Amino acid sequence: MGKLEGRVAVVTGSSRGVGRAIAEAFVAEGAKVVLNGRSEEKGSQAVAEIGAGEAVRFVAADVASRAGCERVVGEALERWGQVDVLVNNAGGTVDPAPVAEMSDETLRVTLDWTLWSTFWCTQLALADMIPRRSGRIVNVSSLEGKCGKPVTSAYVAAKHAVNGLTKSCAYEVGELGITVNALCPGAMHTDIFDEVGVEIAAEQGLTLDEFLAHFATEAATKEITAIEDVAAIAVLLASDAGAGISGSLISVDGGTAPF
Amino acid sequence: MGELDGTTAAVWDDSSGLGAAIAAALEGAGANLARDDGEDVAPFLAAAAERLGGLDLAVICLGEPGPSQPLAEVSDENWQRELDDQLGTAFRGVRAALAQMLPRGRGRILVTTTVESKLARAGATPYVAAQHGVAGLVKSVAHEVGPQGVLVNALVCGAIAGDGDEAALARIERGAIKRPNTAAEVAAAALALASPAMSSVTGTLFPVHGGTVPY
Repeated sequence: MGKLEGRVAVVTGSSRGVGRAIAEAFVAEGAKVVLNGRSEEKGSQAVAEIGAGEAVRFVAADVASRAGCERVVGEALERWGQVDVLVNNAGGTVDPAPVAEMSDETLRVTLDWTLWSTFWCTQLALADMIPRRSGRIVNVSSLEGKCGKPVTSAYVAAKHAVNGLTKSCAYEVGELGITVNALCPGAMHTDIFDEVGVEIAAEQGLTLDEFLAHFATEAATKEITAIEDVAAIAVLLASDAGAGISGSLISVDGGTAPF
Repeated sequence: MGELDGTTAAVWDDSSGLGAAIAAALEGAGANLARDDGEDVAPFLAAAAERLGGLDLAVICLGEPGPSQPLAEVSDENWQRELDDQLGTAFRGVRAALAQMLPRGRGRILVTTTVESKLARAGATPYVAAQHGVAGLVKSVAHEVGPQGVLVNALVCGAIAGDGDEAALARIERGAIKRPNTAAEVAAAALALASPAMSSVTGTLFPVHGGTVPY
């Protein structure tokens, strides 16, 4: 018997990377999962690779708009009638630059992608969770939700805001049997990191490997974060046994964040 | 197949029930388990390692605070006793566990603390200071032994159902879930962190307190 048997989960940004790892861990524990990403092709590939038949659905949508979020959360409601677990994983940044040189567009896109998507999906899921007095919301934040880093101000600001949303929302719905938490992973070697990390590293005159090594140096383990560990903690938070954890910003970063 | 099949674990318990719940969860997941019989933490962990043939996981459940007393009236003896019961025990337990784990290049250490490792509590200043010390110990030692394959974490436990005093009840009211935590919830978190597959969580004050701590 899996820890999430019969649960319906929505995981945004889950055709690859940590979202995909969380979705796979949920499926392994018996959940039905709506996967999401912007590319139909990558989504189809993910569904095929997971190989869980009817237990996995993919919705191609950009959650940087309310309409996109409605389609993703709506798929779970239409197909399975409820949303038990929402994982707000989608997010990221574009054209990273120091604040002195950063464009309005960088901040706007980063906030839409990271913060507004979390807000919209949370609101849509709560509309189902609150009447049923049951639910779990897991926001995949970041080490950058707790700490600053050069050349990533837009992302850092967005993730700090996600953490604030997490804490406040937890107080609003805690008595209704709904928990809201954020996971704060350190650097993970995902394919997304390969894309955006290269740009951020280049801005600092580093190669991607040097950039990753820098993250590893700051960790107690001297290693970057294992994606599977983030998924394992997400399973705990989504499970019955996770009912007593809410409003928390949980570091999964090898001991990097100082608090 | 349990997720801890083949894992050796020792649970030392000076609390009111957390150790029993954690031990049950570990045993349910297949761990080969030793529990203390009232011995001091260090000799217990050494003996457990010998009996089990090595120690993969050590769980140290710290005890309850001493009687409430304003700091202005705390004697040197009472201050020292509280520091020793909490921080001293954590230190001796972690050191004893490391003696087993460092030579093997792997291990997991969990210390149960309370929200007083992060928050104030009037009338319990020696306990609060000692608990904050435990948090510092866990964070620092994690950085010392991380590269050697040993992960050290604290579980920050909220008031557990049945044992809340007035201060704890007031704190619960200010939290997110408005109820005490359960020993089973602490045990589930312990189980997640105990997994040999877990490699990225260390030096963390892992929250099982229903949102009663703001950071």
